[in-house]
Amino acid sequence: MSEKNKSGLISEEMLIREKAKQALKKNKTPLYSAEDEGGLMSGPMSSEEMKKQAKNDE
Amino acid sequence: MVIIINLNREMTNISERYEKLRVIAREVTMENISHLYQDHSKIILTKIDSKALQASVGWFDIECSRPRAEWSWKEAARVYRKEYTKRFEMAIWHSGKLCGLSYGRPSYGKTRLRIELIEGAPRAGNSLGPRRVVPITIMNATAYAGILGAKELRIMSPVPGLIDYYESLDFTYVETSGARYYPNFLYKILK
Repeated sequence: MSEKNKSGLISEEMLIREKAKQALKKNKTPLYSAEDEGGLMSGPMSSEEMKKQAKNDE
Repeated sequence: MVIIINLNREMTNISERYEKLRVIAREVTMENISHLYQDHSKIILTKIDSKALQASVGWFDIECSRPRAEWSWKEAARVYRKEYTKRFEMAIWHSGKLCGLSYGRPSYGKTRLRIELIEGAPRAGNSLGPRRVVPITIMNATAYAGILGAKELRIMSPVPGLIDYYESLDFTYVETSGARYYPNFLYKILK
């Protein structure tokens, strides 16, 4: 790979990292949720519904 | 024949590209976490690999007050790996123990990122503590959404009884219209 291509890839990666950082900076998430027991928190209970949801287009 | 080989190569490139984007999202989330939790050095975020799938089986041996889903994470992995190269996925580890798993995917135009499955290790086997599983999942999804340019985060099919729980994390609940395969969800607009 040429030096020019390498530096192009590095700068693209830096740009992508910056997008992720900015998203986290602008959108704060509370550090803890309410009291919780673990287990399934989102998603259908049945196997069939899980597959349907995953294949359903918006 | 040449066309098929080229298509396969292109798919592999797309797959590798999104794998790289997920790695970057996890690395940036880890960096963010290092400023937020004192025990951050014990927390590791990975993709859902064979080690995570194997560890998830162990959750069935731990008592949990919440009902269990019929499906296994091995089953979910088969669906998401096959169908969605652009998927969102994450395994959360604490002190070497698996504490949380999640899968999701962007909408067709990548304007929204849907988190479709989240499960935390039951409290007795969760050294991270169940109260941090969803917040860390949301942080990573936010970072990935930022990379994709998505402006909305959705949590699909929240488990009944957890609506207030998600609303306390700044999400707004939308009840299903009744249309087939369109489940209840919560959303948050990203800035």
